[in-house]
Amino acid sequence: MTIERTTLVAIPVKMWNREYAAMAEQAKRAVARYKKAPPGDRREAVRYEGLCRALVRMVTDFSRENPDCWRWDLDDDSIRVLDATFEQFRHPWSLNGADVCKALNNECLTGLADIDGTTILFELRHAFDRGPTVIAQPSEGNTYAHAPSEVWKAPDSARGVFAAVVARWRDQLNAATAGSATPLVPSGVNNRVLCEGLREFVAAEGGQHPIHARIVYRDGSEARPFPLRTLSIKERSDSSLPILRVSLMSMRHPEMDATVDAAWLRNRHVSLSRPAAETDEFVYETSRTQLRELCERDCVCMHVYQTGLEPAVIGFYRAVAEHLFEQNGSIEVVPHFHDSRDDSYQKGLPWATK
Amino acid sequence: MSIGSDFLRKRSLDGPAALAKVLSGQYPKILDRVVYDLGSGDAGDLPSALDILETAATPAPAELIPVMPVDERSFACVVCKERSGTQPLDFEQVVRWHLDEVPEWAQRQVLDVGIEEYLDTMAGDLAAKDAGLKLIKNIVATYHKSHGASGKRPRHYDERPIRVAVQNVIIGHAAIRHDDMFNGLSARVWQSCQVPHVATHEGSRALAALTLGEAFRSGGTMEIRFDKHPEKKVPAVLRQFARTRGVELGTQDPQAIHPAEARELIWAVTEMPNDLRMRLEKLTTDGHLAPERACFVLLSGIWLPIELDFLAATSSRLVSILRGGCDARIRPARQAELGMCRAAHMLGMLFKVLTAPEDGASTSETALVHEDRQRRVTWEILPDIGAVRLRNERVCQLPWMEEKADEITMGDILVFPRHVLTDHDQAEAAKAAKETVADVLFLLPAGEEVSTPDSVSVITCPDTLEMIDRSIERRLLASRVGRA
Repeated sequence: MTIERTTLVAIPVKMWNREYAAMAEQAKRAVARYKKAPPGDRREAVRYEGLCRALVRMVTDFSRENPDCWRWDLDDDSIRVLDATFEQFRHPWSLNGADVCKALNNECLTGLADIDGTTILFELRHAFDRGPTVIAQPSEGNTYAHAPSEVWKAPDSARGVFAAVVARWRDQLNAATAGSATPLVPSGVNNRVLCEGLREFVAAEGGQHPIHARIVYRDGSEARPFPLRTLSIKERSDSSLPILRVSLMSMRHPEMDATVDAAWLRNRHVSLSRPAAETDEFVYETSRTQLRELCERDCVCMHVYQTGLEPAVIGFYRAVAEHLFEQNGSIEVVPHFHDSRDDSYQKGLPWATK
Repeated sequence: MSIGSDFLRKRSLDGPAALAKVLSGQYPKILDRVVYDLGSGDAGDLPSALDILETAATPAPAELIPVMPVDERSFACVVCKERSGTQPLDFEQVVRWHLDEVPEWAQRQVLDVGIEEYLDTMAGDLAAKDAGLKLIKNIVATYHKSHGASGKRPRHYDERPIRVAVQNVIIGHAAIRHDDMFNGLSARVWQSCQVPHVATHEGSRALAALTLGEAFRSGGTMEIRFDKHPEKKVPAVLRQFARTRGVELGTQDPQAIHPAEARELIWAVTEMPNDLRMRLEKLTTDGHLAPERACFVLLSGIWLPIELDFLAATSSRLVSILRGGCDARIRPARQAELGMCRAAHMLGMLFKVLTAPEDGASTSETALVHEDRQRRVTWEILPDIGAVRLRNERVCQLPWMEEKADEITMGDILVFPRHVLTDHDQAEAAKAAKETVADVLFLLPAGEEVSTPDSVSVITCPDTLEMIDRSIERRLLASRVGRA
């Protein structure tokens, strides 16, 4: 197996400023925009890569045309030290000679410590050097060598597919609260079943300890765990609270606009082609922030009109559960489930704490 | 002595006891008029079958005794042993003998491990054949109304018909859907057949690959149930195919392929060279990759076998690449991953061109046909230097050469696929050129200007670096959002 090698090429600052700096600046801005973009939106990442590709090509040409320029080759071991020492998210031109020398503690890097201020170090990573690279063993819990799945069968009492899905979801929730590492798989579970199952198992009675259940989607992506057995749930919401009606996502049912006051999430940020776990994370992060901001004013009862995008439902209710765990009674959420048979919404049980 | 034993004795052959019984007329009644025997008037004519076998394009060896036709141009034969000769390696097995001229590898392919198993399979298949055909006809009509006419994509729980066809001949069909009652795949129809121009069991293999790929993609337990299949158990032809690959199906539940059996079967149906199989086995046993995921990457075509082999052999970053690649902001790691992916991509393109049929016909067939006009090119990855040795069974002109076009032909070449050339690469290639008899070449993207040692030539992939990166981005996205 080949190993990787890094070449640090020293480019005079004057030349850098004249020929490379503008492009590097554009790349920096692309990364800044990429950070702000919703997960899965790859446009800025692709732009950043294009700019870096052009810079790498220019530096490679410079290095070839100037065989006497300063450059240092770092082997596989040095690269590991470098990656462990410096920020993971780094531009190829952001290393500092003195810091590299200090990190590597290598006397062979002649002159590297003295170049600061006069040159820019550019990092070129080559993939094909001769040598035996060992693939690190996966850590426990991060292994993919799982045994084949166990077969599952709906109980005889389950009449029809809907009942089977309910039974499967409840089996998974029961197993999770019993301490099993088998994950919850929300994909394909009906909106109402998903939400009410979670509500039932989020509720904690005396002596029950919180459980963090693994969430794995059908596409194989794993999301942040869901907190179960954490809240003291009450059965009715407080009718005196002001009501805020929101649709969970915009543009799913535009005819509902007359009913709701706002949309909690923008559809164009949620419905992107990306792993379901990333959508879940985006919804969770956004909801945590928005719930915090909403509760800074007054306690409200939020009526959430939701359709069944599973990562959105899981992400939102994880945020609600964690928010209520931290700020007990600060908000009440009453789900309203879309019923496609008559295009109506049915009121569900409230997520409200005692 | 039975009539069957007497027949074998007269021909100086030793065969399985079951063959003597069959020749004497003891076999499932549904196969009357199909099986050749010596005991009943309803049977096919064995002497005439033997005569035909002698007149085949390649005459059958005397040790083969035909038991029934496979199709109109081949026979199922039991392998016996000539008393004066040594025991063949496939003794007692049922093999297929073609009457027409077929490639050497296609002749005498194993149909089943024994005569009893073979006839039971044929009887089971024949009994359910008409019911299955009727059912698939209805399912196709229903599906056309609900989805086909409107172009609506089926949900995972919608029953959909699938067909495998080669050169306008259907060699397999099935109707499958994800069933939430057991969180697995349900197959109401699953039938395949042998046809003269397609390799033995290719219908079953291709259909099994599609079925298993779908079972994985729909995210269930990988259990595949056949409760509603006309045979009411794992179809006989599927069990037969699996048997020939050393996999027993329906051992835990006769009506279902258990997830553990599905794992074995997906390994068996995914076509890959032995080197790649060993590399992937190592990765899966070490816990880097689930076996189903490794196979699905190939079955779904995200990476070609040669590309995946190159990545698995030369990169420590394969697992990250198969999960969609690292964050673009982790620039050093991303540079290394891209370097690997670019090399693999160019290699895949070169391989496609080298194996393209000489008459320019499509190479998209997934089943192996006898008159395959693709050029046979084998590869061997040299992991230490990140190069690939390609061998063509027929010498031909090498594509993408800008210089020395008349000097190099494709027989045995050593290719260093690189998106950029370093001094180290040049030194490695020059060293390899001295040590090997193969022609040594760099494979580079279009638009990259380089100078190379005299002993090393350059072939230029028609894609520029930008185009290659776009393709890699699509593959990485497919890895992120699918189950691959």
